[in-house]
Amino acid sequence: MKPILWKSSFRYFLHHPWQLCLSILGVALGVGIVVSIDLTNESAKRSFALSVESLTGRATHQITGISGDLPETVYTQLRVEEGMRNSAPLVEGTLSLPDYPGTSFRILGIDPFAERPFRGYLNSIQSNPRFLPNFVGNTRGILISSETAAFLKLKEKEFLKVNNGEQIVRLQVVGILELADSLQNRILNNVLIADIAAAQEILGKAGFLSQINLMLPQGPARQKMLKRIEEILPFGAKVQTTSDRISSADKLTRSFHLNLTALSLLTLIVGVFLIYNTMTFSVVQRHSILGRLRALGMLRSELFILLLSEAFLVGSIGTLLGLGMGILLAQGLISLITQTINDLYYTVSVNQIDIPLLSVLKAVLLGIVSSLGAALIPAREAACIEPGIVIRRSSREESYRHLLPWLSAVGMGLLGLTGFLLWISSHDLIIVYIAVFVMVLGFALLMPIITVLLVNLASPLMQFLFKSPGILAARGVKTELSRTSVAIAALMVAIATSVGVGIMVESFRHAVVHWLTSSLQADIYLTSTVLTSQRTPTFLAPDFIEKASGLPGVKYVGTLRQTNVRTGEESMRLTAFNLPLPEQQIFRFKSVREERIWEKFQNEDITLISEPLSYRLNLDVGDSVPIQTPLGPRLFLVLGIFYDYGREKGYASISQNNYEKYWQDDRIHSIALYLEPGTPKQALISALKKLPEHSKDLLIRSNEHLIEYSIQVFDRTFAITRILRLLVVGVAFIGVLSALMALELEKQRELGVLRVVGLTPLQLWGVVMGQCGLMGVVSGITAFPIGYLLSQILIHVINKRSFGWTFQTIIPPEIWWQGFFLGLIAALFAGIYPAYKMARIAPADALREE
Amino acid sequence: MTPENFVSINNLSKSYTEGKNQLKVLSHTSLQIQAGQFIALLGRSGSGKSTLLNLIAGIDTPTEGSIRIGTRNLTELSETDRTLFRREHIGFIFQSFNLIPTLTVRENLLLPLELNPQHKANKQESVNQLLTQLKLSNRIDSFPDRLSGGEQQRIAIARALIHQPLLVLADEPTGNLDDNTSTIVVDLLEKMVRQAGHTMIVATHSKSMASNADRVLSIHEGHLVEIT
Repeated sequence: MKPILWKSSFRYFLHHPWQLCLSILGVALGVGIVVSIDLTNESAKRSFALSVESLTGRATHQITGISGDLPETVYTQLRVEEGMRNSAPLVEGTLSLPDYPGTSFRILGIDPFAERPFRGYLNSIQSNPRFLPNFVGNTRGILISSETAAFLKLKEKEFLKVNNGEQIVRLQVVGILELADSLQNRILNNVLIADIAAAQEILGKAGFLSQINLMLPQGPARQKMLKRIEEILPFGAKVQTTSDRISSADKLTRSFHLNLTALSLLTLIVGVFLIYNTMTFSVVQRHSILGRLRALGMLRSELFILLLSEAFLVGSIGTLLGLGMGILLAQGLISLITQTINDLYYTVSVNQIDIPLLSVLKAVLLGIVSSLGAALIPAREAACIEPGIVIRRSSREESYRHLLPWLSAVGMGLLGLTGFLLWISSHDLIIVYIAVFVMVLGFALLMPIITVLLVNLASPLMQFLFKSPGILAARGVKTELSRTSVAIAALMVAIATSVGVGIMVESFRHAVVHWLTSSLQADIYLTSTVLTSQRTPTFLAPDFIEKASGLPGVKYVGTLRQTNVRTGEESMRLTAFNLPLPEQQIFRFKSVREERIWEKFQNEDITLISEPLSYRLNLDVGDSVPIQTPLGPRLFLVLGIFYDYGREKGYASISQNNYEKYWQDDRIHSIALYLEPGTPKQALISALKKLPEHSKDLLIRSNEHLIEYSIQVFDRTFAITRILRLLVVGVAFIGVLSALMALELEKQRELGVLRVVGLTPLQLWGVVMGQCGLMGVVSGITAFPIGYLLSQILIHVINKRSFGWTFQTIIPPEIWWQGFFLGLIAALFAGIYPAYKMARIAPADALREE
Repeated sequence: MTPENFVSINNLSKSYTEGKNQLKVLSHTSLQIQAGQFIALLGRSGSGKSTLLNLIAGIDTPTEGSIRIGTRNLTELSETDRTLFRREHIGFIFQSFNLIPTLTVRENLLLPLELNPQHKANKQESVNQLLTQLKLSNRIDSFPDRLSGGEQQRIAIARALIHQPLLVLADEPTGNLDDNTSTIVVDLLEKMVRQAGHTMIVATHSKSMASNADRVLSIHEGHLVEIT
């Protein structure tokens, strides 16, 4: 490409800096949002992988107990009787720091002698003569990394207060590990290393291990050893590879990460509209220049490459800025995302944003390819300009109008394709998301024809309300359709996304609130600790249960026991409960077979399963589920499928009777107290706390408190969605602003003529604002049905396939006017500056030829 | 190349479609022009003068007939080849100057040379010489919107001639200029073209310009008529 042509392009953009800036900003915002979501997702995954690494070190395999704990006799048997020397026991748990509210640390209990081959940094324990005697057998001694010591402002021999859920314990720093490797430093961030006996004592896990790490040789010897290990493992324990463990966590959060990525990509689509608009404008604006260049002998291909090069440059600058914005935005979003992962999946602490090269490459590719893709049509149009002939805008609009039927046909075709993709998508979420993008594109292509229809309808009203300026505004939208329809489409996509996601979140929230209020019918819930997926709950003392049941005002008591079990190759959560008969109505069944279900539930091998489990394991009422019990596999008949939004992997329920019968275990994790009417809850909670068997780690919560807490978690989960919705609308706002600024420049001469024939600046201002308002109204009106369709795909396809949840669509009344006013206000705001500029224009300047 | 018939137009027709109607601008017309001749093309507005120039420049394609310039039959060339031929052998002057507003005077003149890679001569020197000849050296770094109409047209003439084309086409070059400026521009154009020995076809309403031409033709109802 000739430098002189670059110079010409550069000067053109220099004369229209706002246009260039808005375009770059559009790409930057789109890329920035995608990058920020990608980086936060990757950082969360990386942090989890690091936390697994802190547990596993160089281990090839781990043995874990299905309910979290493994008897330590398993380790003795492996090491002593089976002679597996490359094995190491590990006890792990979470502790909170009273002096650092909101901060939790992990404690790793290790055997420094057995552990040494697994972790290089432990060499320093043995090589440092001060460490070993203070560490081994010291039930209050801990080792920390130098970075952790700096964070906690601790020196050797100083004390750290931790809360193990039962009491505050003072631990003494017996050594500080100086780690040269930054990765090892990150692995040991927020980690306290203790002797295994100390960790067992602090965590109340005497006699139990969290896992056993193994370093197995390659080849047939490994298979032989694995076979032997499986033979001696106790019921429920399993051996798995380290990579399986990381990938199972990855699978757990895959849908969550995918949903966020999809939403961020929608922002990029809106950004692409923006680039398309800018590039089209730059071509139309330079029609005469490009025509002259063609007359001077510039080839079509040269012109095409020139325009694409401009788009490449805009895309590159936008992408670079977007990368920077994305990294900054990721710093803000990471806390929201990790909070959700902690609430719903597993404990992860992310201290820094990782910037993997792959994420950077993805962003660069996405930003530049999108920019080039968006510029293809305008560049092709430029290449087809007849040499020397200055094509009037009217003739261009005429040809655009001829295109309308074709655009509409392609739009309809894409909608048909959407249906087809949804039909074939089965369980594949990626295809569903492709279908969503195809649908959005289909509707975007229908926007020009919809705009014409709606503006035709609105014209008489505009004329009646605003006289000549009204009709000029309406005609402006129609006669500049090639420009206005793209801006309207961009705004429509943004609002439809906002409406669709809004309906989904509100419907989901409604379902969750309804489910919570109907299932949490007891007045007070008591559980030994917070029942998260990471922490192992302890059991309630039988004496305590008995005394609590006997307190005055307690009508009856329900009990709950939870465990993980195997069904075939899958693992699933099992709850065993005993509910008083009237309270069994809390189950809202999606599908149920028997009327006398509760009688059978108590007396036969019956299970009730949650909707996500039914979806995940493809189980229906009438099917039998094989469940591994200590007495061997037992078949349980599915008699009902109930709605549940608590666990996305789902769970099965059996009666407490059956649990005691097959598991030979009558211990209880939680109880629910149903009170006599009129019994004051707070007084009863105080009475429960005064019971001598009451322990400090017992959580006593009223149903109101539980509901409030659960809704807080829900709202935290969707906080990021709200932010992304706002950002999408922000990008669309820039799109409308850019389109209007472009129109202002293009119509300068026409507006000058209007001023010459007598239109006042105020009337001109009214024309522009009327045009913006109409664009906003068209976007708002069309966004609602499209947003509704989007919400239906989100609710009935994506949510169901991601989590197995179904719920009714609830359209809050405010969604109706929110979408409409969002479009109107965004468009009106975007119009203020162009309207101001147009109204101030001097007719003589506007009429100038060049 | 045959000096006798440098431009050869045979049985040329051009029609446009307007709605359902066919508008015939040129109808089976023929013309032979010898190398170095200065042809004036007269005719009322809309008679087809610009269309004929566009067809000769390869900007537009005929409905029927052929145009041969030198040894090349333009009507047999692809769009790309016509463009390459135009960039090398034709200089075009427009009524509305059509300078590139985003380039300075110097850059506007350099553009045809830059587009022609076979131009090995010192480009800057060519530009300086031409501007000196046009007495516009002091405007070399100005942008077109800072120049008067006469100055812009003089630059447009220079741009059309700088790459030494075989054929110069001018479409009402004085249409946007006052009488005095027109005279200056016409004199300049004729002088420069004659000096360089270029062949030139000028579409004009100006009788005085036509009076200096070697041949004067008129387009009447789609046919070329030789006046002198």
